[in-house]
Order: sequence, then C-alpha cells, then structure tokens
Amino acid sequence: MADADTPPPPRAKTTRPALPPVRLEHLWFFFALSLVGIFIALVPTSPNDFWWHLKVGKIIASEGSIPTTNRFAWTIPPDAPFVYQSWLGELLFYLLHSLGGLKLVVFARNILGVAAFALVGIEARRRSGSWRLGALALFFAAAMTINNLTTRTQTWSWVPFALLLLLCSSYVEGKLRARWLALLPLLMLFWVNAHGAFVMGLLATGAFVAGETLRRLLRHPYALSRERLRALYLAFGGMIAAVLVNPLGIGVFGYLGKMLGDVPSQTLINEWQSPTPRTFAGMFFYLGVVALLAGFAFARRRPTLTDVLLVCGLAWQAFVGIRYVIWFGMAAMPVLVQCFAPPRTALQKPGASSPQRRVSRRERGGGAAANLAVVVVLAGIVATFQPWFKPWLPLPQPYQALFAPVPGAPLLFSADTPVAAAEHLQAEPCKGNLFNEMGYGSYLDWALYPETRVFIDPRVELYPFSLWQEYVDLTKGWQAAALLEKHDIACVMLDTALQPHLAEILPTLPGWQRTFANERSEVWRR
Amino acid sequence: MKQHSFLSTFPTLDQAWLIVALALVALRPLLTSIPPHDFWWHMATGREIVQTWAIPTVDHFSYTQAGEPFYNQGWLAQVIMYGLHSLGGIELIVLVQAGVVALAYGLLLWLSVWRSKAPRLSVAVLLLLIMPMSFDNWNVRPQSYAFPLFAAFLSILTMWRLGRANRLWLLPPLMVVWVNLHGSFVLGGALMALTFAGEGIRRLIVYIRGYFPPSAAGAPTPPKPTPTLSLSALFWWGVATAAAILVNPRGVGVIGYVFDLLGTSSVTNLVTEWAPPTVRSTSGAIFFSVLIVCGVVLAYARRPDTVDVLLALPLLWLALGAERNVVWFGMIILPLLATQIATLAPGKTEAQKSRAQGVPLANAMVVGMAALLLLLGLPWIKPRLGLPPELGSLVSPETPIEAVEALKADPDPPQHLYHAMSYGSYLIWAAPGQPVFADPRIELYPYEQWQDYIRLNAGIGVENLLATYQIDGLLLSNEEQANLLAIMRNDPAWTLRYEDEYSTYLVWGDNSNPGGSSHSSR
Repeated sequence: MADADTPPPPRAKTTRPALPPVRLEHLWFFFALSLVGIFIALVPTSPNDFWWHLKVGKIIASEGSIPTTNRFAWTIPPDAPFVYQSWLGELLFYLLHSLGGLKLVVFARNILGVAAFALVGIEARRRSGSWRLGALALFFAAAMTINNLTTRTQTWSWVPFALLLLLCSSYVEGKLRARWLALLPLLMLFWVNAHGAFVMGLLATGAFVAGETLRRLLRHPYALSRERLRALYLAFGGMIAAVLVNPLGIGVFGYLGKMLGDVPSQTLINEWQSPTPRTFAGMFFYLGVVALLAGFAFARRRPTLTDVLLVCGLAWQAFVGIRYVIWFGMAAMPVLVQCFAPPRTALQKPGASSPQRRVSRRERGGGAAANLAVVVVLAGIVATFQPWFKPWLPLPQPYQALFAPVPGAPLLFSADTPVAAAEHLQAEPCKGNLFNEMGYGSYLDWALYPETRVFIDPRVELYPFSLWQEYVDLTKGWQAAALLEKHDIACVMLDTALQPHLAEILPTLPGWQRTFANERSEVWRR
Repeated sequence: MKQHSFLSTFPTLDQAWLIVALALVALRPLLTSIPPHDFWWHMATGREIVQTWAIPTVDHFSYTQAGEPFYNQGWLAQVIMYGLHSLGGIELIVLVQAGVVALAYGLLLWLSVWRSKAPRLSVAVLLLLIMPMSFDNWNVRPQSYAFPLFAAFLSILTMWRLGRANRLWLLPPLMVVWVNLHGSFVLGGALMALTFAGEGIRRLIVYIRGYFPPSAAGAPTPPKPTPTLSLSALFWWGVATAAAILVNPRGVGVIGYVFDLLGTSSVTNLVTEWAPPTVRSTSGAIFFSVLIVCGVVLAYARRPDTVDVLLALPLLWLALGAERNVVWFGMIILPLLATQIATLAPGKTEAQKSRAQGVPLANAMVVGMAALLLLLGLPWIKPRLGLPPELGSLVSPETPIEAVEALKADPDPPQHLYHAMSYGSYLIWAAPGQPVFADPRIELYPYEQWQDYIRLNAGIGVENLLATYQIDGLLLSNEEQANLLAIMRNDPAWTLRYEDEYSTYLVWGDNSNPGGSSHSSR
C-alpha cells in the first residue's frame, strides 16, 4: 500500500576522489544547529518553574531526603502533602548551581537544548538521507518550541525524548541491533526521577510497539520480524519496570493522572492552553502541521503506520497544550522531511549492509580545513552567547530589557525575577502575611524561605482552586480590599506588568503604603 | 411487472442516504434558535435601507460613536433578511436559512459524489465529520447566505478543471451578488487564484518532467493536466470576476474594508469566533479530530489532486486562525476527503452496486421519516411541540425581548444605557429610539471602549467608568455580566425596574420616583 519501495540492486564499485569528513551538507546542519544554539542561549530564565525547584534541590541536598509537604506557603498548612516528582532534576540543578551559580545552570540548559535538537537533526538526516533536510527539521522543531525553552526541570526531558525517538526509529528500520534497546529502560530510570514528561517516553515507545505490531499483523513491507518485535516488547516492558524505580513507585501514575485532571493547572496556566497561530511559536507549530499534511499528501516516501500513530498522537497532545508542542516538533519534523526525501532505496532488511551513498563532488565545499574552520567559528559564535560572555555582546536594548538589572549579574535574571524586591523584603521583613505574584513566589521560595512564606507559587496543583480564584480576583483588583482583609495580608509584593489593576487599586486603599518600587516590582505594607 | 414498475419509483438506498443527509443538514438550522448577536442589527439596517433607499454610511445607532463612519458591507443580505421578515416573519427567515444551508451542502455533496463515485461515503463524511465541525457557524446572518456561493464557486471551478463543464461565465454574476452580501467574497477570488496557480503548477511540473524524465524506479507519476482546457479562459474569467468585485457601493474600497477588518485588534482579540479554535471546546475538539483524520487519510490514500490540496491548505490556515473560518475549511475538504477515502477501498462492480440498493419500501420509509422530521421542524410547527426553549424557540431565550419591552414602557428611559453587547443588537431593532453603548459591529468601536466594556463587566473601576460614559441605565445579562450586576444590586443609587431569568434592567435614581429627574446627577 504505502511503502512499495524495493531494496536497491547491487551497485558497481566506482572510484571516486575522497571527500572531506566535514562537507558542505554538514555545514548546513551545523549552521542550523548554531542558530538554534544561539536562540536557546538568548532565552531568559523566567522565575516560575525554576527557583522553587532549585530550593527543593537544596533541601534534598542538605537534608538528604525528598520533602513531601508544602513548606513554602502560609495559605495552606505547612504539612499539606505535595509530590516533588522531579526530585532528581531539582537536585541536579542545585548541584550545578552550587558549582557555578545560575550561569552554569543556564549553560547546562543551553547544552541540553543543543544536544536534543542535534539528535532531532540526526534523526531527520537518518530518515531522509540528507543533512540539509536534517537541518531544516531541527530548525523547524526548535522554532515551534521557542516559548518552551526556559530553564526548568522539563529541560532534563529533552535529550531523553530525542534519544528515545532516535533509538526506536533506528531499531524499527533495522539500523540498530536489539541490544541497543537496553538503553531504553536505563534512560527511563533517569527520566522518571528527573521530570514528569517521562510519560511521553512511554507513550512514544507505546506508539512504536503498537505501530510495529500492526504493521506485522497487516504484513506491511519491512515489518519487524517476530524476534525483533519481541525485543521491542521486552524493552517496553523494561521501561515500564524502570518507571517503578522512583520514590512513589507505581503511585507516580496516580500523580500524573492528578496533574492532568488538576483544574487550576488546566484552566489558569497559559502553557496548558492550546497553541494559537498568533504567537511566533504557535505559527511555526501550525505551519508544521500544515506542512505535515502536505507532506503526507505528496510524500515521495510515505510514512509508515508507526510514524502516523506517533505523529498524530503527539499532534493531539500539542493541540491540547502549548507545553506539548516540543514533543510534537521533535518527533514530527523528521517524519516531515522524510516525506520530501527520495524513495527509500537505501532501506535494507535487518542485517544487510547499507549501500554506499553517492555524494556529489560539490559537497566538498572549501575543503577539509576550510569546512572545519567554519564549524569552529560557528561553535565559537555560539560560545560567545553563553552566560559568561553574553553581557559583552552588543545586544539590542529591547532584548536587554528582558532582564533585571542585577549588579554583578547582567543579562542573567529575567525582568520578572524580583531580586531587588526580595532583598528589600529581606532587609525589612514583612510583619504578617504576604501576598505575592505567582512567579515571584517561586523566587521568594528560593531567596527568603524559611524567614518568609508565600501566598502562592507555581506549584499549581498544591493550592485549592478557590484560592487560585481569589488570587486571580486580587490580581485583577476585583474585591481587593475585601480579599486583603479576609486573608489578613500585611504586605503585597506585586509585578506591575502582570498585575496592573492591583497596582492601580492599592494606592486608593486606606492604610497601605508603598515601601519599595523599581521598574517592575512594588512592595506595599499595611 | 406492474409491481416492479411501482417499486421503481421508490428511492434507491443511495438516494435515500442523500435525501436523509440533506434533511439532517436542513434540520439543524430549523432546530437552532437565532442568537441575537449578528441578527437584529442587520435586520434593523435592512429596515433602514428599505425605508430610506440609502445605505447608511455613518453610525446612528449608538451614543458612543454616533456620526462616526461605518462601512455597511453586507447591505444586500440585510435587505434580504428584512424583506423576508416583512413577508413572513421570523418563521420565513428560519425556513430560508434551512434552504440556504441545504443548498450549499447539497451542491458540495453532489460534487463529492460526482468525484468520489461513492454516495454513501460522501454522506458519511458530511454527517460524521463536516457537519459537526461546521454547524456552530450556521446561524442566521449574512455569512450564511454566502455558503451557496462558495459551494457554487468550488463546483464551477472543479467542473471546469476536470473537464466536465465550462460554466466559468457564471462566476462574475455570482461575485456581484457575493460582494454585496458578505465580506467572505474574497474567498471566491482566492478559490479562482488558487485554482489558476494549481493548474499552472501542474502544467509546469509536466513541462519540467518532459525535459527531465524521472529515472528512479517507483518515482511518482507526474500529475496530468486537463489538456483540452486553456488556462487563459480561467485567467480572463478571473479578470471579469475581479472586475465584478467593483460592483458594490464602495467600489475597490471594499477590499480595503475586508483587510482593515482582519487587522482590527478589537475584532481579532475580543470576539470569540475570531479566536483560534481550541481542542478544549467541543467544536474545536471536533475540528482537530477531523484534522487528524485528514492526516491519516492523506498518508494512506492515493496521491490527491494537487489543486485540491492547494485549495484546502490556505483555508486550513484560515481555520487555524479563527473559529469562524472552520466552516469554509469544512466545505472545501468534503469532496477531497470523500474522494481520498474512496481510493482506500476497492470499487464495487455495477452488479454489486445494484444488489446493495436496499429494499425500496424501506428506503421510502426512511425518506418519509426524514420528511416528517423536517415537517415537525418547520418554524410554524416547532414552537408548538413543547420542546425546551433552546430548541423550541425561534429566537434564543437570552434575547432580552421582555426586558426591552419594559425599557420601552419606561416613561423616562435612560439617555445613556449600558448593556450586554448582544443586547445592543436587539435594542437597535426593537427600540430604535434608544441609542446603544456598543453592539456587535465590533470594528465600529475603538479598542479602548471594548476594554472599558470588559473592565466594567468584570466590576473593575465601576464608578469611574459609569461616570466617564455618563451611564444612567443598565440592561444587563444576568450571566455575562454577573460581577457588575452583583455590584449594582448592592448600590442603593440604582433602582431595579425589571428582571427575569436572563436580564435585569436598572436605572440611576430614586426608587420611589421612577421616571423622575434622576438622570441629571449623571
């Protein structure tokens, strides 16, 4: 039906002049990867999903155990249970922070991002046989993800996901031996403790298992043999067993189910909402969807049943929430460029040797030394965008305005990180309950706990929906006086950009005095 | 023999499927009550055009933008709606709406059956995929009158390019009607341009492949052009159709109007149907499910016609950008999907087909049932069936009919009434002497005014905003404006004059002195 390609006939050996190991086609790949690397390095670290995780990492490191309760917020009991599922990601962040501060953590994010998208590009190249198409795939996958590249524990999921896709699809195409599948459970051992997106790994592998099983049952061309299918089942079983190796055991699935059904997360948090083409990343995502449909329609090489299952499943996830677009991009873009690649003449049955791919002499480019020099220059350019050197670059003012002017740490803390306001609160502690912006809560957890506890922070599922509704009302300035009174709030730390209505109303409330203000933050006391 | 002859007058199973499909399509508008938003103000404008024999060019329905220029693009649809109302009331409007929608989807169904040679499959695609995705957009409003025109454009262009019939000459007169009915006329031009581009690309591919024949075994066969048809015919009829766009009160300015509308932030940011579809709503979930189905079908069916895909993808992009465009995407993919799905299953022989035409009497009974349903759904009968108001009422229950009557009966009505946006539409029709704060002519009102509207509804800065607009009366939707209503109910300065399940009417002033000189304080 779809895949009617036949194995290539044996080719006569021809004598061709040797081409350099780094060719013109590779330069396209490195160029795209460098662009992506620069972009990732430019993305500020917003406080929401970073600082409170860092604090938990610190607690784990100092106490030697994973906390299980609220601790940071005063609005609910300190011993209210809370699952710190990403404990390993948090601990790793803290260890990096201890070694080299925020700069090293951001650098690690940049490295992980580049590595993940490089794997996406390699997978696309493997599918399409073209480094140029690989470059295109990695660029598009990154472009639709640009609003999802902040430093947070999800960062630890990027490489495992991309690696898993590469392993599984290489295996089902007969390019890897079964023993490589042993990496999958090992990957899962790390992943299940580092971030909740481990479930995407299970789903993606499940798509490979289901798709390949169906292909075999339907007797599709190049379907896996019984033995190789059995190895895939074993690896999948191993992954499920590996998932159990976490502090919650099988309870981790219950935790995920609770997260997916958590009303505040699903209704109030932007990244859980559907993507829209009116944002840059959303536009690229939907362009990817449209291109994929066109690719499927006019494919020179039709996708397999497994590909369609994988891509459609992840597309649905991405339609549900912005935070899932990254997984769709990583999986779908290689499939997309495969559609534009020539028919699968290179596909061999398992065990057969791959034929030599003919490379045009034009790929020689400037020669070995010149091509390598270009790679080094590109790497050097990416290096200059790393946190230690970025402040020296003449970056445009609108970009610099994305960061808070923290002395000694230029272009490091995002503008919505209340560094100065927290210092003010540290110098003059609040004598009573504090109301704070949600993202500020994350930084306050890091900077001021245990001296100061927060009203709310981005541990969205921890707080009851009624409290979130009150937070939203207060943020909008709706019934501000009554709510401040109800919660006996003595201090307010607000973000004037995100809470303009509250900033407008507070000066009109009797008994409130502003004790701190800078470009972004204000602290008010009763 | 005689009996056989009698039975042969009964519908075949294929015919029964088609008739039932169209009946179900028509039934949907018959069972849907008319929401106030995009209906009443169009009717009121139609009434004004008929009464004055002039198309209004400035606003005189509101007190906030009175005298400001407003381009009333869909004047012909407004006149038709008002004319129908004058002839047969709301009932006739609803009946015509059902006919218009059935005509549009009937054309598409015919196109789909002709192309796929699979009537039942076409019906299944229509009823299971296209209709659920689209029917939120089948409300009575000028846009609906453009549906048959869109279907006609698509059918005529498809028939031309597939060599069935050359009726391109119909396009210019159809465009003259379309450009005066609704702003979607640009889609007609887009269909022509995309068809021209697609056919051009198809010829170019053939031309290139003539010079560079594919060498690899298994390489796809190049698409074949329709050899007897010249692109120049399409080009010149395209020019004529483009010229036909100028036959409207504003001439070439109508194109600027459409692009201004698309770029108006108050429209694209504030109106729900201009928001991108989301999988979290039922209609959005259906749309994205259909998209997944499209992906699967395209991946496994025979390679589709280049022009079909070229037509579908831009409309998909439009649909991804705004919910209101999903309906056009649905219309364009009906023939494409049916044709592609048909390639997945082997075709039946004529003998198999004739054996699978069911029992004539049963077919006739099914058609009869559909006819009975249609009969019961007729707007003269439906309200008498005791159905819940959402189904049984011709106008939607949230239309503030009684509340506006109370307002009209007020001896001292407010000078500056504040109300729900949709109520503005009904007020324009039912209380022409009562200027409105805002109404669904979104682009007429500045973005700042809409932001004030949102703030006021949320209960933010109420005192300041009421004073700014000198508001002395409130006609609030109990559901949409609950926050504001909660505040105003507790404000002793405001007097309750009317309330029901859906609406509340309050005026500024002394409770004991209704109709007194209370408005002066504002």
